[in-house]
Amino acid sequence: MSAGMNYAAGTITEERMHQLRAATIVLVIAGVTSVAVRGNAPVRGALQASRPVSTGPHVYQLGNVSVDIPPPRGFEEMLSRSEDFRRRVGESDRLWNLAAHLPSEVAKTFKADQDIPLYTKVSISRAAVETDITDDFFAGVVKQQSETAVFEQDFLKKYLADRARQLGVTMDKPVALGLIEQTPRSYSTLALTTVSGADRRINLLFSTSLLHLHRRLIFAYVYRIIESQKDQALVETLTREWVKSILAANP
Amino acid sequence: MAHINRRQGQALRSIGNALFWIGVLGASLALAFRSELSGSALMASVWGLIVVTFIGIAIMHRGRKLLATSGDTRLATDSRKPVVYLRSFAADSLGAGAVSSWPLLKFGYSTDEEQLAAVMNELGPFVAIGDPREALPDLGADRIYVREGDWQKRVQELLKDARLVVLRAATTDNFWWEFQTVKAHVAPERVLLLVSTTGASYEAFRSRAAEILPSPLPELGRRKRLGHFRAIVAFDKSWHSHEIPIVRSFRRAEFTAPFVGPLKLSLKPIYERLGAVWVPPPVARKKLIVLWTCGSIAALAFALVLAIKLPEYFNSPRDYTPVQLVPTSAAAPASAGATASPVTGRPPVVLSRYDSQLAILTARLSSRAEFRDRVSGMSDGEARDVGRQLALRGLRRLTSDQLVVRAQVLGRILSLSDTTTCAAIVNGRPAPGLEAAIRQLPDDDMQQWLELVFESTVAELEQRSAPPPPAGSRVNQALASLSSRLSPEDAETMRHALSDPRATSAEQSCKAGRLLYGNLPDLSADDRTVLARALVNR
Repeated sequence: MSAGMNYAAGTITEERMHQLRAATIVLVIAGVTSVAVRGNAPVRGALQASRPVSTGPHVYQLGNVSVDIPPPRGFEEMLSRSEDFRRRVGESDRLWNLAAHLPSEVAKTFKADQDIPLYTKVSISRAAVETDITDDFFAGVVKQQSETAVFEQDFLKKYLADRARQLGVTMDKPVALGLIEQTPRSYSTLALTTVSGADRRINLLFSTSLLHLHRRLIFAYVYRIIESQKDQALVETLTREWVKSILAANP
Repeated sequence: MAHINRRQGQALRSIGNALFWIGVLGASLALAFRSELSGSALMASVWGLIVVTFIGIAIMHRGRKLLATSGDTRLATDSRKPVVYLRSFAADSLGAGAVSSWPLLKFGYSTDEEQLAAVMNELGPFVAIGDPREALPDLGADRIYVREGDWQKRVQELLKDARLVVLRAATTDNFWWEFQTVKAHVAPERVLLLVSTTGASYEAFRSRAAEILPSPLPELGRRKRLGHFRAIVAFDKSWHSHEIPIVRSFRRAEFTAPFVGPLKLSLKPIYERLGAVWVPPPVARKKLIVLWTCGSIAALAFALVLAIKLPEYFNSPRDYTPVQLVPTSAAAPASAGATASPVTGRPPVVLSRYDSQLAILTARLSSRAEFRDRVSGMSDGEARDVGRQLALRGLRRLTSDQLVVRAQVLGRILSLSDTTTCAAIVNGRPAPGLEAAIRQLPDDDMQQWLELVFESTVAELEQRSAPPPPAGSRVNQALASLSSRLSPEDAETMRHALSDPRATSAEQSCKAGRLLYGNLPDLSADDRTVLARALVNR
């Protein structure tokens, strides 16, 4: 990936790419920790841009474009409905959460202190809300994701350690389980990690999808507390179908 | 003529000092928090602060020049005989005007001439004719400014009373006039020649000096140096020259003026010759304390790292040991899930379904405190054996439904195995080809098989109660039901293999196993349950 890739608003630099990649990873971890721990996650103010607004059901205004993020089938958007859920999900200071979803039957009875064995989340880098992303840039991000052991990077290790310390948990290094699906506008991978609290160890499967929607780079996540060997297929299937529906909603 | 303004000088020195430290500390902080800054912001900060540092040094330098005492004032207030410094003005750029070669480390960054002055001022007021073109005096010897045509007369006046004359070797006509004047009017024991050139330049100087002196100046080889000075030459009563050995001393060399101490040590014979009291330069205590402290902190940090990391390395926690309950010695077949990347043109890194399922199984088992306790302190191989034994012993504790599922999946494993592996599984022996067969299972079967491994291991760990094995007569009844579905020849093969396994060939054992497990799903629910449980209670 060259440092001088042109896009509408100027020139994409390695630095910006680094920010986007960092944002991806940070969100993964933020999501991971929010599942394991019951309690409040700090929500900080915006660093680069104001929080994107929703202009309709599942539609979000990102600068001069709007994207449609339908929930997975059988899920409901909960971020805008439940303060408790919003606190549990948490938010990185580098990302805006656009949406988070729970299975419909869980959403109806959700309580602040219950486990969340399955949920999904959608985010965007605060630095890139109004940034046009070219096909080449997206391909570069995907290339980095496929080549770099992201969890080995120092800044992520530091963030992970800080976040775990804040929440009073320890987190094993995530294990990349590989690619779920790749299309010209999406790239989905699966990973496994373990979060340990005072008296619990929770194994988490999570998929990370990079989506190129209307010249924006969107991150979509599926989180699952492992209960059986079949959960891998569950997360993979859910991810494939959800990504397919998001891409279809944003032709 | 230079203008000296003490108030302005003090202000500039303070400002320069502040900028210097802002630059140094700011750049250090920027580097310390580099992870918080983007690449370009970090570069801009560090370079900007380095520039600030140098601006601070330049301002500090100017402030110090403004604070310099004039040579005339010094002579009027100091009754001792002067030490006269004669050099070419061009030499000021090396000795007095330029910041030394490592200014950032030398916090006070004394110039060579300032350090020379620090020693010479002990012998008498150290003065020199100032360059009339300069706006401010250079640092070092106190400058005496005279009109353009009067400098030779002033030099002669100074030489009359000089306690010591220090010549800095040069090749200008004015310098040679000074050299000849010194030779004519000053006792040779009161003359020092400082040489800062080597090679051809020094040889040219030496040959010219030979025209004035009775014998050539000493040859210079590779030797110790003090700042820009490569040699100190003294003269005897007959103007024969000899070199004064340069003495180096780490203990007496300050950070900020590193060759004041060594220079004084080197000039001990000159002090004695002039009848001056010589005391050794002080030990550079601050420098030694700083170095000792830094060294101690570094050593302590290193020891701490060793103390923390070494036990971790040798006793790494076993609570997340990647225990593999299923052998992984066989080569993994190419993953069916691997796809060529349309973006990069090469396949992305993909774990096979079996490997990712194994990682999940390992994580699940490792999350069980009982399991971690069992394998704590074991090697990977030992832990794997313990896990395998737990899974095997736990089979009898599984529910009937689970055992029926196991029998059905095992039937498919046998059908995918080679004869040797198949026979080994049927006879309950280690089967190296088992993993390869499991890898070929459809995803659902693979998940079910590893789920059963998890369940049986946990059942054994929790010592769940095991249902009693079925009675022999009930087992025979179920087997008879199964045999009735086979040809007489196959029924006899299965009976023989079950009744006398040791006398049965691998082919026969495998065939019998495939018949047994392959036809089990077609039996009644009761017979399936009886046989599935009987097979794990053999």
